[in-house]
Amino acid sequence: MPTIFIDNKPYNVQPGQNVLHAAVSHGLNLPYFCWHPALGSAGACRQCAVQHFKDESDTQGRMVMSCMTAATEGSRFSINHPTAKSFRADIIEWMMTNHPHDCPVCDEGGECHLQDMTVMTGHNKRRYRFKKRTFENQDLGPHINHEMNRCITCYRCVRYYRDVAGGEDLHAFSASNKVYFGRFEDGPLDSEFSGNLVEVCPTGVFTDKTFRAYYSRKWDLQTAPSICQNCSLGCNISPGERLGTLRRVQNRFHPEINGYFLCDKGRFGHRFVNEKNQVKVVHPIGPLIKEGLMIGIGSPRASLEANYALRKLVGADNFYDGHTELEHRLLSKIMEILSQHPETASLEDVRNADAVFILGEDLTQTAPMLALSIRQNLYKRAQDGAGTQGIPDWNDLAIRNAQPELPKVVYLAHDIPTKLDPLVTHKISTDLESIQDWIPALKAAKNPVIIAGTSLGSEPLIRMSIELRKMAPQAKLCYVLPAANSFGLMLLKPKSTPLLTHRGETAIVLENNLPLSTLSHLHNIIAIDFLESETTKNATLALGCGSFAETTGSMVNNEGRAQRYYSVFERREQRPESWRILRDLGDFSWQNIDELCAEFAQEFPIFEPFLKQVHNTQFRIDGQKIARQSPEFSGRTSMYTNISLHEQAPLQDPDSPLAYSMEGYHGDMPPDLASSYWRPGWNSVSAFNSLSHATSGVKLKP
Amino acid sequence: MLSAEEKSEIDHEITKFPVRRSACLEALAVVQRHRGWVSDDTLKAVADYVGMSATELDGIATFYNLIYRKPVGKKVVRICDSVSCFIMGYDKIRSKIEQELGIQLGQTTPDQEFTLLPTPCLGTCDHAPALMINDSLHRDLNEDNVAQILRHE
Ligand code: SF4
Ligand code: SF4
Ligand code: FES
Ligand code: FES
Repeated sequence: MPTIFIDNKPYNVQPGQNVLHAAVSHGLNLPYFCWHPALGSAGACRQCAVQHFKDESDTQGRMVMSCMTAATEGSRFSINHPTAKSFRADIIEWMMTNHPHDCPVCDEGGECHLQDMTVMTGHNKRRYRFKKRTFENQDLGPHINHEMNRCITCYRCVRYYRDVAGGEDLHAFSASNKVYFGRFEDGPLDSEFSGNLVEVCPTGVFTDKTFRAYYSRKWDLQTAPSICQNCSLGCNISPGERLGTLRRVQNRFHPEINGYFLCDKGRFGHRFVNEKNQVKVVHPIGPLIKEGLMIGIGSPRASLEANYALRKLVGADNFYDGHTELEHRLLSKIMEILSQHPETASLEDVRNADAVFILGEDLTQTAPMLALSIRQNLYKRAQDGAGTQGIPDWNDLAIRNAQPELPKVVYLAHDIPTKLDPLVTHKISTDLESIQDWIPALKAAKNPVIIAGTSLGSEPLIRMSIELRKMAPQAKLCYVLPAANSFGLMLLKPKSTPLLTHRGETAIVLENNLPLSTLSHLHNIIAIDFLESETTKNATLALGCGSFAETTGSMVNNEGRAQRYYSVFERREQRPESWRILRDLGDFSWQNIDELCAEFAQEFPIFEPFLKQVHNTQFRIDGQKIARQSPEFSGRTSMYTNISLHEQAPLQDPDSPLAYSMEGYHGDMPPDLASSYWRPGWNSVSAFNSLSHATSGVKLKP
Repeated sequence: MLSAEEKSEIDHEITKFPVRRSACLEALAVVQRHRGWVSDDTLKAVADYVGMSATELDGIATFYNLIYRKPVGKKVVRICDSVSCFIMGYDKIRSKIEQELGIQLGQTTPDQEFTLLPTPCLGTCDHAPALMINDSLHRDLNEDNVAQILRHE
């Protein structure tokens, strides 16, 4: 680990880092704009200037851009040197000449990188007294709001949208003082990853339009670490709530899964939490009087805990899969494969693979972040290529100039056009006659990934994945599964769906909407779900449970990684976890999730390592629960005065080490418990740079 | 949308580059020669023809001050506002022209004869101030000769 000196203090840095990255990782206050940990350096904004000294005796030094300077052993820099300081003050003053004066009405205000950098640089008075340049904004569709006057032309947006996400409908227009970032004409952004603009743009140009519809400042949101429910990848998210409504979802860094980004399904696909057509909560519920045969139909979108509780209630013999029969067959095959070849690929493995073979998955649709990871992979290959020419990994523009050709590493078998096609070296149809052509490349690859999945309902494709794996033992397997907890449900060994052949007297349907043809064969239905569906409408008894945002539970993603999501909020009219409803139906005694999990781990030892590692209800830091609300959270004493003039007591959370309160622990914490990034002077998502980048979750083997 | 003639001229430009889309700027110049300016629809047609998104092509089109994204008059007056001309009286020349033509920088006369635009250094600083009207260069301007030049162009 090289050591560098900043203002005469030694700092250990990661090999190959640039000075800016090293400095902000150590929590130093060095302002910057165009650099971003996932985009690398462009050296464009000149905000990150520092003084660079030849040696100890050099007091003069020369100015360099820290983001464009390698942090090599023994090198010496100064952030506080008066020359660099006044240069940075000038840069921000220029940058702010055109900027509006209205942070209080700006959506970015309070979590704005530009605001932070302006304060950090000490620019608090405007000398510029001329007209500012102004722009017209565009309507970019339902997700992204556009306010071009706030732009500081750092170019992060186009570098992300075009270079990382492959979008073609966002660009820089015009020149000099009039550079404009937008589309050719008004209209929704095409990319499935457009939402990341909100976090990538360091100012209020691109903000979350869905959030704006019912807005709140960052410090007024209650947040908790959560897991995306929209596909099987298990990306880490941070939802924010206020006054009982979910306001927005932001990215939560996970080094092996989503990294810095989310897809738009993950970011904007959470609105259902606020839907009105929720199934009514029924309580108290007495124990079920068992008469005749009772079956349970589990769910790949319900937690492990809920599925386990159902299985316990109806018994292993009567616990059925909530997947379709075909899905069950495919998933069983995948589980069988993975029990022999447990090395599954994470998204980070996909980003690092030197070849990727995709069998019948249109990834942009079925597992979007996997598609983005493949785009990121191509960039990493370009970084490798540029590395052999002596270009460091962070030197973005040099890498792109030195490596204009797409690396030939993506192989795809699919029968329809997919959005990844332009990146694919070799595309064949799913009848796989020409798969032989892939074999030399597969065998030659050092760390290839083979991707298949259930979306086409094809068993031959899944079998082909294992055939390929046999030819290349170094390859990792990656399966795209139907839903967020498909893997977890399969680990509970449900029987294939009974539907049509087996008529249960009573069926308990857990968080699942079954086809009408199936429902009509069921005699007596008890449905548990959050929103109304055909199933709850046809049920003899429908019991309302809480959504993922208000309950705590665990899920297993497509790589077999078990992760816990924590409830973000509790509604005033509390909605119970499905497992609590099942507990009451079954007259079990679990008081909290720990008690359920203790029994669960005994019955399914496979989950033991995960349940040991997960931060359970007993976990405390400095003897405290972790606060979900920021110390600046406003309105606590008055936010529910429409209901009662008395301040409501904070709700208790029996299932997690988190508190629905401003009181509690606020500092650094394990990554799986962190949901809001914040440091003194750093109010935007950039605060993350100096926090823990450790991994979390436990990989399970079927 | 593109005429046969425009297409064949663009095709010819394309032969000069290893990649089709690299000819995009030349393609814009071709259609501008034929139409005087590049409308949104024309831009979309060119983008399709060279194989890039309209957004990307417009990023290029709007970067260059010689690609016109709005209609211009028959004569485009481009007055240099860089340092030498600025020192040598650009301000006065510009007001004189504005007064003569009754338009401001960036505007076109109602009869569609003149458009007035600024331009960076014309490379003739030793004869500043200078301007161009379409392809002809006029140098050593003063308030008296500039009106003359406009009338005779
Ligand atoms: S973008 Fe940031 S600095 Fe600009 S107005 Fe909004 S909050 Fe203030
Ligand atoms: S829109 Fe935002 S990201 Fe794009 S250049 Fe302007 S400030 Fe930077
Ligand atoms: S961050 Fe270094 S120049 Fe922009
Ligand atoms: S500054 Fe006008 S010609 Fe050079």
